[in-house]
Amino acid sequence: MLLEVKDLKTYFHTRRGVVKAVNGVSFTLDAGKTLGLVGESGSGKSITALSLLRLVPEPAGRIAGGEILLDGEDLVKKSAREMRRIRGAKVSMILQDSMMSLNPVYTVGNQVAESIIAHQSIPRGEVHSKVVEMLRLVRIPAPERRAKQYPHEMSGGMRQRVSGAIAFSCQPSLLICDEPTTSLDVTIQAQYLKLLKDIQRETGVAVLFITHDLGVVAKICDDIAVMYAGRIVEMAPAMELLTRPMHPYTEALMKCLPSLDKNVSRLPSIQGAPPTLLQMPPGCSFWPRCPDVRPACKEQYPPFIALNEHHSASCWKLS
Amino acid sequence: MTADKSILLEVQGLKKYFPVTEGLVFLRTAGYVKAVDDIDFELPERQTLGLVGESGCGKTTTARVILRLEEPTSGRVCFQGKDVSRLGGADLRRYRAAVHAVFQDPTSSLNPRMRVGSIISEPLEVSGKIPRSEIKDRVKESLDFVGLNQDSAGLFPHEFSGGQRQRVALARAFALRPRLIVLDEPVSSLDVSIRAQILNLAKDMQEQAGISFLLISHDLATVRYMSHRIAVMYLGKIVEAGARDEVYSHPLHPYTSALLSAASPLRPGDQQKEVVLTGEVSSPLNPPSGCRFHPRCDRRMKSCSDTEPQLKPAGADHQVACHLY
Repeated sequence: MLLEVKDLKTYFHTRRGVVKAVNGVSFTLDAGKTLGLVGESGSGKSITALSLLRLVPEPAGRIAGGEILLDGEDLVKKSAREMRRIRGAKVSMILQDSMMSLNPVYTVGNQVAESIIAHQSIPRGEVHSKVVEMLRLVRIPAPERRAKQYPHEMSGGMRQRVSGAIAFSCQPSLLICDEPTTSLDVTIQAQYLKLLKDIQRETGVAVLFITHDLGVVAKICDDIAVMYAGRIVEMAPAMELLTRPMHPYTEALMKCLPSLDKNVSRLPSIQGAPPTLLQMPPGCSFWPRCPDVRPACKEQYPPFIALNEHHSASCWKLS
Repeated sequence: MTADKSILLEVQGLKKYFPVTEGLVFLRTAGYVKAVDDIDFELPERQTLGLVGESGCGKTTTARVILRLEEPTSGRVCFQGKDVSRLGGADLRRYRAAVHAVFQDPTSSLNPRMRVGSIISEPLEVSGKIPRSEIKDRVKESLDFVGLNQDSAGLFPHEFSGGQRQRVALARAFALRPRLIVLDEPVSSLDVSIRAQILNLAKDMQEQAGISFLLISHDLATVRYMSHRIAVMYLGKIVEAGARDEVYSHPLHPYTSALLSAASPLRPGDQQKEVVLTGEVSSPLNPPSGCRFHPRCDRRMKSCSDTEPQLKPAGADHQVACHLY
């Protein structure tokens, strides 16, 4: 097991109270596998990712509890200095908007070289060939020429590949992708997902894939964890979750998506909106929107119930 | 098109080129971005036309020309038989009242300093169609229709969630009872669980008030749910058009097939044969010769790089611009 997250809690202290952005999240991830973390905005999926890298904006936010075990070592206990050696080398990240994550005043080659120089002791003279090799890995045509270009000279899909080249440059064992394809067009998105899959097959990297798009998740993930209001509400292998969702939220989410191959005269919709994290309803956080509310739902948060070896969900109707 | 359906909007040979200039002092035109290059379509009353394509294909420019936010380079947009770009004075005011738009991001399309009540009443006042005394009732009615309570009128946009803001934008578009609403990616910025609410609301509007929609989206599933007819655009051209079921069940153009395949089948049973396109969308500044899609096409032939295919009928209510047919 490469990564084990146990009961992770990340809180933000604001003037109006404590926001429990991540409220007891646990999951595991094996090498070479992809876990999809799915949720709406504000569900805590991005903060979970930032917590793994210890990049939660401080001092407002902090990891209030839990363990993040990477190869058995707890990242929560690492010093800032040790974390710097881990970020980019063992754990790297691809963000949504490559225009924001790349530096506009440096060439692309320079930026790929930066992480290589920071983490690897290879002679200066060989850095350039390594950069070109990385750009080739992410299938950038004419990498020697492209290395000399600036981010604005590239298309969105190409820039996102450069982010990939930086992320893969130190052979990380864990890659966190936070909505990497959201800003890309559909056909470019399909290309990018295929590229990620190919590289994963070649390098055996484990991927934590964060997205709100269940369609993307269906394509790339082995397992899926669905988040709602700071907690994982259901976790299962991708096929099983998409064909037999057990939590009412997952079920409703699947139903309210328009279909590509069927004509539907009216979509079922989920009433209301996700709760504000400052004013959480008592009991289960989904009950105000749930079609199947029971008295217990309003009183206590339901436990995580295992339906079989791999599939579990937290809902009172399953107990 | 059946004869009993009257045509609300007709676009004929529409072109919109943007000049690209060079030089600092003595500007000269170095070329044109052919954002929209000779497209035709019709939108009947009470129907929805879905305009699908990737970014840069010209779908939003088309919408802007229809809204008369841009003047066409050539070609015509006819609304109820009248050329929109020739309208002026009272006719133009009437057109503005009959055609509204809802944009992708409600945060930027609603004035942050205006209360929701004024946001919705502003077009009513400007149009001059509604007596002052009735404006308040109209605002109430619109808020009611989109499912917001009456107190919302006194609040500012930032006090709402994204989904509610999009409801306000719909209420504003609906208040004047327009004939046509241009929906430009209306749900792309919303959360998945909220999208269905907004789409259903738009459908209700169409059923109850007989409004036509021009829906612009890159999401094929959304378009399938909402539209009666669809048109697929690529680099300023319509490459395939037709009745919804025709296009979705028998996509003819290789680009449409690729889009459908790339659109992430959600349920495992939906899995289709995967077509991953190579290469990127070419630049509209310098589009490829012949068929604009040929550098990325997996079924290209010799003639594709030489002659440009025309949009031709291929089956009942189905047109495609491809040399294969």
